[in-house]
Amino acid sequence: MGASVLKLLGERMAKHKITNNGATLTGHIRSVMVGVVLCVAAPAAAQTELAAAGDFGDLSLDDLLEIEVVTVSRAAEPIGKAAAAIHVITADMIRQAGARTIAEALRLAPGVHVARSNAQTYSISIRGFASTSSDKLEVLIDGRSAYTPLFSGVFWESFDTYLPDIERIEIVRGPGATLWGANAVNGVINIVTKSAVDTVGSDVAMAAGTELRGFASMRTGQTLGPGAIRMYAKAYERDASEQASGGEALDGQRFSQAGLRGDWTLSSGHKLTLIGDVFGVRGTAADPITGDRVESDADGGNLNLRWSRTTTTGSTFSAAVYGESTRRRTPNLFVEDRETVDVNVQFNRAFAGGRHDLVAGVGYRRSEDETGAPPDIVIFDPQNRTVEQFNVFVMDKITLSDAATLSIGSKFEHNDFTGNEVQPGVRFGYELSEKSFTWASVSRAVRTPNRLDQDVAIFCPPPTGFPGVCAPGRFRIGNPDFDSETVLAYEAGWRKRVGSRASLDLSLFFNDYDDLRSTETQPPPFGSFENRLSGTGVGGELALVTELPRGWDVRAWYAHLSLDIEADAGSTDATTPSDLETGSPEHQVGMTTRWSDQSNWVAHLALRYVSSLKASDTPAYTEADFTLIRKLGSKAELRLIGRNLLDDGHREFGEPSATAGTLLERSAALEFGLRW
Amino acid sequence: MRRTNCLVVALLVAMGWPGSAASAQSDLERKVKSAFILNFAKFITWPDSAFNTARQALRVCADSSDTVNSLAQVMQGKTVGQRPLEVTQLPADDCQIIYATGLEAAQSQQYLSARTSPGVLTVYETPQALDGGVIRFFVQDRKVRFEIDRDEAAAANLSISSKLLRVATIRGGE
Repeated sequence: MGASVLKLLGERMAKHKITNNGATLTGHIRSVMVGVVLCVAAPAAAQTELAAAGDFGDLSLDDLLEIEVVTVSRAAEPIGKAAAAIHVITADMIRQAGARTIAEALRLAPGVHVARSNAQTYSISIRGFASTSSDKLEVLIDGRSAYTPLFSGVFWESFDTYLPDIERIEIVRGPGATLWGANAVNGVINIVTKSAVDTVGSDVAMAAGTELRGFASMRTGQTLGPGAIRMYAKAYERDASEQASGGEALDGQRFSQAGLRGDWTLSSGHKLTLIGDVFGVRGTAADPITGDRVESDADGGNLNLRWSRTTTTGSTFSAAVYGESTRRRTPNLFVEDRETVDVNVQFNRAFAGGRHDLVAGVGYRRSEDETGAPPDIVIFDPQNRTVEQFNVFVMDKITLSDAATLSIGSKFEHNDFTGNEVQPGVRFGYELSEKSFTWASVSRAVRTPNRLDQDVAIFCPPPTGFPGVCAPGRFRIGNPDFDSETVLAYEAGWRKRVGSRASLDLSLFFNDYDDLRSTETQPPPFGSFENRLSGTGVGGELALVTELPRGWDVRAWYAHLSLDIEADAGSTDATTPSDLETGSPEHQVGMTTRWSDQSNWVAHLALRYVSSLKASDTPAYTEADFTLIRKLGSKAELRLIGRNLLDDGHREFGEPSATAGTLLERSAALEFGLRW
Repeated sequence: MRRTNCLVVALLVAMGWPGSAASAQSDLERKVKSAFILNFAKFITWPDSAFNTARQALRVCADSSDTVNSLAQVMQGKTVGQRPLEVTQLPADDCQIIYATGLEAAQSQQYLSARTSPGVLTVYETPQALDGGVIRFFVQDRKVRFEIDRDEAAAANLSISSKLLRVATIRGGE
């Protein structure tokens, strides 16, 4: 839920040292948040043992299709010529890391700060502004935007898919607004699932463990007409986490989801894709007033239809429409019912003998919500609101010479909150040699206002309100005049292949932020939002990928971030700047080592270090995850997955000023997968 | 063709990811592709006009010496029906299979365009589809996949068995 609201409320409560049944309101509220939990990769494709023997001429088609031919270094080898800090997580990386959630999979990407705040909730951010309601990323799955206009963040607890059917996750660090639109201020996370044509067959997995108590999933796919269709279902139950002060937190969760995807080639060049999902999640939560155990729930569904046509000349034309409906309830805290319709059309064509590669698009989105009324604490005024957004974008990639390319473009957007927004970008790429590539870019992006920024209010219930915090009544924090937050980002990068086994990827950035959200002290007791913060973010990421002999590969990365945020003259916000500056880690280090004997065993070790977060009083930590996969014949697989092995329990995040933290405990799970 | 997400396509196109930098194939990848080509020979039927005699060898022509060696190893001692297999380096005449291994379109296109008569299976592996190409290799999730263009196959008078079509990505045709 709008953790910012809760964060805000919690901050006020904490400032007034209000506790309720021994824990801060924030503590309760935080446990209300439900985090996405995704599951488990599917059984690995059987690595054909014959292949190791080298007698390729005798292999069947099915055998050949299962042989992994690309090593990590090869995958990294064609020195990416993207003039942006882009990283791709592949299906195999997710599977071998034993990632069970999209959030956990994102730990594999350089520079992504994944911090789990409790059993349900994550803060996921790139280049700063960590929050469980992080509002500066665009998150998409198969073209469907996952962020809610309520607070521009993602309800991770209900953002799920069938993990083994993910084809890849693309992560762009830095603004992607020219192509991706509002919210892509600090990055884009784009999840692409496999075509149904590639998932013909069945896949089943079952797991049990110390934190993930029970998990079951199944997918079945079959050819249908000139294409294929698949269906899946999954369900799991997640144990509550431990409170730092002892005892179980109220944050357990039960989740179920089912969905389908069909892909058809209708006639030459015409393709049709249909995607739909329904989900239901029930989480344990604490009543925001009494602290008693209550149950929050959310459910919803979406349907996505896409048609595309590729002509023989290579032009692509596509049109997509999707609708989504969600319903979320946390007793006495908040309600959000939302219906969204999105239509977009896109066109891509090369001109002038390939010198110009043009991509252009038009999109429209309408999102209608109904929120709760008192006695819910977090309310919105107006209670119901429909928000429309219209956008046009165009980008031309110009090949200046064999080595140099220039991409230039802009997105023009009209939204109900701020009117027109322009988000231009220029990117230049230069191939220094076959083995090295360098790029630079300048781009502007905006984070357009949301319901939280403009409309949120807190209801303090009669007869006493929250003693010491607020008298009974409704107090508006949202500011109808709240404007877009903006960034002007300067980036540069360099990639190099080193020898035949390693590659380096360096990205540097300087982000100039303006009109960031401040919380002014007037009117009491909660103040109101204004755009009175500005500042800079400076840093970079360095990633190294190496492939060693005998089935080993190693990936390592380091990310540095230094945020300097100031309140403008006249602002009364004395706390947000330092909370932002110290709310994201200055240093992060990640390392993964994978070993495979190329037939029956795969072992994967991931280490991560995250420096301290003063704003949430979170110490620096180092943790290790280990996965061991044993193939049993060509169809079955056994996986042992260990998480957070270095400590009995550690903290990764807490909303600023929160005092009660939850501990992530060491855990283990055993999983059996079968594929046929 | 994995055009799942038009936005992705846009990004990739606009930004040039992952680029077309040619990179050396691993031995393993080359071997696997060679074995696929052997399977193509088994599961595709050529028109009678493609051969002069019933026992004439099926000639596979490739543009790189590494690939010619790999094909020769994989195909050693193998036959397709009554026909033995023969591997030759391009440029060559009377090829039933032409395999262009380049990742650059311009380079591979010349071999594909050189197909003048029906009865030639053209195999290539540029990132984008090319005119005159029947089967295009690509790598996905570290594994070799291939796309069959049914229009091109029809134009080349090749009949492709359903066993092959079942595991291929299909492009064009009915």
